[in-house]
Amino acid sequence: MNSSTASDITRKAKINRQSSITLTFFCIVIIMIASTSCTQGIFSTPYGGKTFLLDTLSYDQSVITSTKNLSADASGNKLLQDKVGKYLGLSTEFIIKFTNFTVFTHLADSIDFVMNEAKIKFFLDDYWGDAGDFSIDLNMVDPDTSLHWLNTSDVEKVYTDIEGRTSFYSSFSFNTSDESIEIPIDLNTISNWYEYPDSNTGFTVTPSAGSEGLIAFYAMDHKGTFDPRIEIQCTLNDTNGTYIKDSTFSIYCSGDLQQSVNERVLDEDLFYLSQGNISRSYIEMDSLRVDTLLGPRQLLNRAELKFLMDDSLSSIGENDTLKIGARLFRSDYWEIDSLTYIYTALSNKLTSIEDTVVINIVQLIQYLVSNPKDMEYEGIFFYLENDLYDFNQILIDPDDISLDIVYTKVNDE
Amino acid sequence: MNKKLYIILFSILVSASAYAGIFDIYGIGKVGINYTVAAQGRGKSSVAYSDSLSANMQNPANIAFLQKAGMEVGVGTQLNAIEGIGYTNGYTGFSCGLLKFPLADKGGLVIGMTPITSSHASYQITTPENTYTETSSSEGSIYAATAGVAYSFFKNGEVAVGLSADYLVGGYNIVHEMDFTSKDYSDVRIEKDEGFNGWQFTGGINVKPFKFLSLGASYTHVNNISHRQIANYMVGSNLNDFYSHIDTFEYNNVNLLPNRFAVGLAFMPTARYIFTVDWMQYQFTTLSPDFSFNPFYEGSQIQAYNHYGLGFERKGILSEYVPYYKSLTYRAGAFYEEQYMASSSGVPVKTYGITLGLGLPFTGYRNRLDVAFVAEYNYGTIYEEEGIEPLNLNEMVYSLNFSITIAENWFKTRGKYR
Repeated sequence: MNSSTASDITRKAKINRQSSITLTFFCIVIIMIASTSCTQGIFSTPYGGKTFLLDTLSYDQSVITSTKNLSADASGNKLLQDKVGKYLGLSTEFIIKFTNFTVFTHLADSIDFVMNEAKIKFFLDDYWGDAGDFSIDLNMVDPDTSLHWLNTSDVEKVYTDIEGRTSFYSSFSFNTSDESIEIPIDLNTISNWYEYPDSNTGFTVTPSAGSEGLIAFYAMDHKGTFDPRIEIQCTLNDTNGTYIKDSTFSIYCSGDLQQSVNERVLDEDLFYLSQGNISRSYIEMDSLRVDTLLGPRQLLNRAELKFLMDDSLSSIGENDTLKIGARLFRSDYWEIDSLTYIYTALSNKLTSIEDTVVINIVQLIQYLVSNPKDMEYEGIFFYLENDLYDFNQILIDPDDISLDIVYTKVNDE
Repeated sequence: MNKKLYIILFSILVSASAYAGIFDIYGIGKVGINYTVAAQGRGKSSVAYSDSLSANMQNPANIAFLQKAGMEVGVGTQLNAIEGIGYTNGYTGFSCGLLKFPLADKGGLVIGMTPITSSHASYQITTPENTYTETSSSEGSIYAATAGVAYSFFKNGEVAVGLSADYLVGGYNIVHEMDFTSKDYSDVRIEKDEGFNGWQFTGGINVKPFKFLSLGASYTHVNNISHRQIANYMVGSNLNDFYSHIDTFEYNNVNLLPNRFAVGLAFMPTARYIFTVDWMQYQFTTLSPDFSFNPFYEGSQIQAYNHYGLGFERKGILSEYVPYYKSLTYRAGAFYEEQYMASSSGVPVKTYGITLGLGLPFTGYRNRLDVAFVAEYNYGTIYEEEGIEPLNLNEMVYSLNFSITIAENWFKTRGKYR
């Protein structure tokens, strides 16, 4: 072996050793990382220097500094029901019209028709009150073009315009268990509506004197097979007067508006929640804002608001999964403005007026106590959640309210 | 060294520091960790001695003895086992990264990052009725971005002096959580980011009155540390917090770290055998008010931190004419530490440790891979409360530390390129 070969061998040995050591180094680092990443245990003991201190606060009804009941206007268009009658302080009627006579205009020129009979047909959807006979009045709106109305959301204007401009047309009695009603209507009226559309300003449907309860018919916007309609039975002839056949044509509703008036006088000291006659209740808890025990560094774990329903004036239907919702409203003029709200908390499911209502309003209270004290136009409003089928109403006496707060604070603060 | 190796080393650098243990939960965690892997193998003793490849973080005077320019990067891994609990905290990460340059014949310069404190611990309190648990964790480190320079005097460097300036930077993420068993209650969490920065200056001296004896001393003065705290108070689950409140505070001239004093002795009966003894102290006694960011348990005391290290090193024969195993450097040592946390009766948390180390030269003895294994036994009171027995813990911490010291061509400044 010459010196050059020996030198090469030595150099290769060095390179191999360097590579091996470098590789070993990084392999070991990877193994180290893998081994320590597997240790996820935690030292656990019943004792220790606690950072947190759990505390409770209990408030009685005095936490509520003011209450307000607000009835939302149940009037409107595009409703699923046209209600008429009076129930639990809600008084409603509706105005409706039928202008779509295209079934006649689309008849072939070779066919003449003769109207024999016409009936207005409403399908019943619901009824609240003592079941039995119910009577409604139809009142024709004056055939004045100034009284024309579209299917507008400004129900109040429509009713203001027609005030004193309606005339009684007919009454119709039926049983609240009926599936549908058919109200006869004079053929001359139908002919006028067909031949002189400008005279068609519709008619109002109001409860007859002495009728108790609230009946709900399917409205135009229900979009089903139960739309209000006029069914006209006609005889079809050819142009020579030769009889072809009898046929019934349906003129579907082209507009309906419901007007509701809340005639209920509510005691401001009570909460009142209902949906059919839409009511929401508002409470303000300004005392919490100035409560020195609570602040932005006190972290609320639970804020349990409890109250009892007044069984004399509350009713809960069987068909709804009823809950009471609570939201924090934020508005300077919340009595007249649309509501701006944050957070939603729901109560337990209410199946009986015997139930205690429990709502964990922890988010709402945390916000209330953690934000600047001058935001006085804030409070909590309550509404009915999942009130879809029954005419539920809940009355709450604030004197039976309690608010129990569990909160966490830093030990030395 | 190729680019891939640099990339891997950089990725290790960006991870956090080492040392895990339950006693890190309070205050600033573990201190006395700024040792090279070579010094760790010698029982964490290096005030009076370091070899010509390693930088020295305990005594900047020893930087004067550097003979090769290069870089040194260290990583470490720790596992801890608490008696009756088992393995809890484990950690792997970067420990130090240094660039070293000899200056003239008798000087040296070091710049880089070294760890000063470290905390990786979690502590959970369970209520007797099991309604909720409270968990606290402290994760973080403070590093020193260091620049040190030293020079030796006389023919054989009998006297060396050095200075280093360290910019301290780092912090802790301290999280307190309260988790309720029942979903009816909202969990809460306070997360605090504690950031610190400041300066410390170290002066050191190394004197060799005899060829076989070296004495070293260093003193570190900590100056002007500022503290910024961001505390976030939160309610809700981790994924869906519904409330958050943030406080920000700034403090100046806090006493996070006390001044440090260290002395050491190295006895070298022959050129290849070195025995070292160190004592290092941090005077923590007056600092308790400034640990309010991560307080100790009520009743505990803060005392001076003392480290006593005893080490041995047998240097390898760096010659191509001997078998490779004879070129390895062997190290061993033991140390004893009194941590700054003490019980109400003044008994500190005590640490007993043994170390083993190995230095593996490669590439013509310019480079070296150092390995140190450290086994620590920590014993002390972690919590006391009136009416209960003090909660004393026995903890074993095993750490394996590696560093690679490289003097590649780029660093060759003496001889060929000078």
